[in-house]
Formats: sequence, C-alpha cells, structure tokens
Amino acid sequence: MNPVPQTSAHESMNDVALLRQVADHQAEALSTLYDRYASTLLALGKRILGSVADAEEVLQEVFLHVWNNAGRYDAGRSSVSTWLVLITRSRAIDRLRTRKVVERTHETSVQENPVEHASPEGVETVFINERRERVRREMVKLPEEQRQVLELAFYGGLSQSEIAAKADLPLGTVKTRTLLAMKKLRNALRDEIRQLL
Amino acid sequence: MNDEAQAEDLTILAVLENGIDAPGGPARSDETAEMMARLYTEVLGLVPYELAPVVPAASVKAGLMARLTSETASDSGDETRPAPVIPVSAAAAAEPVRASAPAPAVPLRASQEMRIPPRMAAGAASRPSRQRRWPLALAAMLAFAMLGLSLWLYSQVGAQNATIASLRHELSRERSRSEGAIAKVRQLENDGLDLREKFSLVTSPAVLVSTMRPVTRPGQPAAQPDARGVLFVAADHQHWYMTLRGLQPVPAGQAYKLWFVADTGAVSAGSFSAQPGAPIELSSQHMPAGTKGVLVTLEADAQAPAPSGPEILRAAAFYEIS
Repeated sequence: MNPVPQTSAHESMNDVALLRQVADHQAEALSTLYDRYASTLLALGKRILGSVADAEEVLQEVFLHVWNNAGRYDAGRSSVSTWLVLITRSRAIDRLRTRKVVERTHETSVQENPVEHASPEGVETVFINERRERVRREMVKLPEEQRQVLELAFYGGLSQSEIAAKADLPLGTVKTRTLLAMKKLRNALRDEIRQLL
Repeated sequence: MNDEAQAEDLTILAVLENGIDAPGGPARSDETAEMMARLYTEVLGLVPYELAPVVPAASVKAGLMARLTSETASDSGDETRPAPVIPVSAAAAAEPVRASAPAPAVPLRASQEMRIPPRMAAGAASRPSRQRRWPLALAAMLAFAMLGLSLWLYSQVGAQNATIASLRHELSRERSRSEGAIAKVRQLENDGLDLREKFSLVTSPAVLVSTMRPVTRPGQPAAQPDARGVLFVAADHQHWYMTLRGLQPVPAGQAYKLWFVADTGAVSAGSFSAQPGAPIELSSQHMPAGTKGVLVTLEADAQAPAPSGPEILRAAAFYEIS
C-alpha cells in the first residue's frame, strides 16, 4: 500500500494506532495525540490546580509519561482518552496534595477564562467537540448536591469520608449522592461510552 | 440491597478513588464486574469534557518535544555505556602478559667467572667451572624461552582483542539491523490492520460510494483535469476511506485540504500533499453528522478554517452498493 501523507495519516489515525506508534517512539504520533487532547487535559489540570502554569507543567509530565510508557497502555482497561484524563488527574492531584492547598481549588465549578479555544483542525477534533457538548449537557442536568460531591471527589481527589467532613454531611449521604451521580452519567452518556469501548 | 447492586456501588467508589488503578475486589472478580469497572472508568474519563478547553501555550509543546528529543538521544547513548566484561578466554590469554615482566636476572657471578684469566683457571679448577656453566646456559635458555613465549602470548592477546572489537562492531551492526527489521514488521502490521479496516469498509453491506471528479466552472477548464478519486462511506456514516489519483504535486507553501460540507458549513478533515504518480489514501473513523458533500481544495494556508482556494475535486452523487 502506498503511504498516506504523514500529516493526514496521523490526523486521521485513531488513538490506539497513534499510541502504538508512540510506543515505537515516533514523535509525530505523540504530537498528534497532544494536539488532540492537550486543551482538554490542560483544562482539567487547571481546574484541579487553579493555575495554568502549574497545569502546563503537569501536561508536559503527562505526555512524557505517555512517551515512556505507551507500551504499557492496556486497551482492555480504558480508552486512550480516558487513560490520558486519569493520568492527568492523578498527577495534578498529587501536585495539589504536595502543595497542601486542597481546600482552595475544588469549592466551585465556575470555569475561569471560558472558551479560549483555537482547537487544532481535523475530524477527530470535531468529534471531540461534539463529545464535549454532550458531556456538558448531561453534567448540567445533575442535581446540584450530586454534582458537588462528584466534583469534590473527581477534581479535589477527596475520599468519601473527606467529602463528608468537608461538606458536613453524613458519610452515607455522600456515598448515595456520588453513586447516583455516577449512575446517571453512565446512563446519559451511554452512546459516548460505547464509542470509547 | 442485593449483591449485584452492592458490587456495582463498590466498583464505582473504587474507580472514583483509584482511577484506572482501581484495586481488584469486585472490579476484577469476573467479566461482568470487569466490564462494570470499565464503564465507570470511562464515565470518569468523560467528566473533564464539561470544562471549557484551555489551549496550552506553544512553548509547552515545544518544550515537550525538545525533552523527547533529549530523552531519545540519551536513550540511544547505549554505545557509551561501560564496555562489557572481557570474556574469560581473553582474560586468560591476557594473564601470561604479566610473564613478560623482566626475566629472572642471570647471576652476576657467572659473567665474572667467564672473565677469569685462563692461567688462574688451571688444573682441577677448570672442571668445577664447566660444571657451573651448564645451569647458566639453562637459565639463559629458559629466559629466551620465556621471552619468546611472552611475545607469542602478547601477539595472541592483540589478535584476540582485534577479534573482540570486530565482534562488538558486528554485534552492534546486527542489533541495529534487527531493530530496523522489528520496526519494519511493526509498520507492516500497522499497514495490515489498516488494509483490513479499509477492506472491511469497502466490502461492508450498504456502503456508499461516490466518485471525486475535477471541479469545472462555466467557461473555465478544470484546475486539474486528470485528478480522480473514489470515496467509500460505511453504513454507519462514520467510517470512510478515500483514494485519490492524478493530483499534481503541491506548490511550496500550499497544501491540499479535504472538507466535509454539512448544512452548518465546511469542516476541515485535514491537509495533505501529493507526490507525482503516487496515489493518495485517506481514511478516518469519523465523519461530521449531516455531511452532504466532500471537497478537495488547494489552500495557501494549511490551517485555513474554511475553503478559500481553488476547488480541485468534488464528490458527485453517492451510490449504495448492496
């Protein structure tokens, strides 16, 4: 088969194929993966850490980790995008704990500097934007109290007991709200999840 | 609460607290539980898509790519690692080199006695002198033999060292050759997967096919009359595969761009170049919803947000192959 032009080939390539090439240390594949997810991961890092500068450092660490560990990715456990999200979350929360400023950053879901979005082009990006719209729509539908515990757990990295202490709620209530939120999201985002499996 | 619901709850909490590294327990006990853990892991993975994307500064990517380059460079520095231990045979061969150290000195007395005037060495004295001479001769012979042996061993060590250097060179050449072969096999595997995907798309039921033809305007010839293409769209209207021929090489600084045209406007599907005589293949697993047309333009700016350059190819009507 004749080679597909490099730029186009990577842009059109699915995440798993890209990651396979990253495992072979093909920098262009990592570059494409970066273009595809950096803005989402940076938003996540910024949401957790409250600082773009810190989040950018985490972003670099995440992609260096991907560069060195792409071969260890297990497609049976998560999609590539989820793998990236969870590595970013884990790194950012570790950094947050090191700074011991947990309380400062996860109290609100207000987004600072919204839509600073000049996304890289490509169909994959269009697809990610569609995903973003659907997730936003469903997250907004969650009752405020369920959304709050989910955010404390996801963005704040707090355990259920820590959330209960922080929100001054019984542990059972926190668990119930968290479980309800996760189950609702699972049902509401069924189509999205199917595409990731 | 029944066991199944309780297992689901435990899985959710484990996934939430540990992310992708959620411990075993209910999440790993059987296939259903594993799938449940996977589902909730993906839910977590979707959560940050609610956030407004934040585009990183260009310096972040530049710094990252620079770090990759330096890491790769240090990885490839294997050659500078300490040399492997010399094999036992070489070490053994090297051992006798020490034997080339100064041979046992011939006693000075012997040479002094050699200079005794004949008149003083008269009578019975001449016999003991001859008796003392043979050990000297033996010592000299031994010294010569040891010197010869040392020289021979020294040359053997040199030859062995040359052999080791040559083998090392050959090993590194073979290693790089095998690495090249592995990379080629992986590339072939990727190509094979790619080909299988395209084949299954082209042969799937209800695939839609459209020819890509040169765009002509009334009174104007087509920009590239020899260009042709075929577009296959799978029944799910997501997977597509396109092959293009006859496109002229792109002038410097310009790029061909593929567009999907929907009611909301044209969406870029990426840019590409062309080589003389080489067909171009493009594919993806996604096509924007509501795509009604497909267009290839020649753009002065590969990042152009909308078609602005001359239209080269356009998809004609779609036909269903059942």
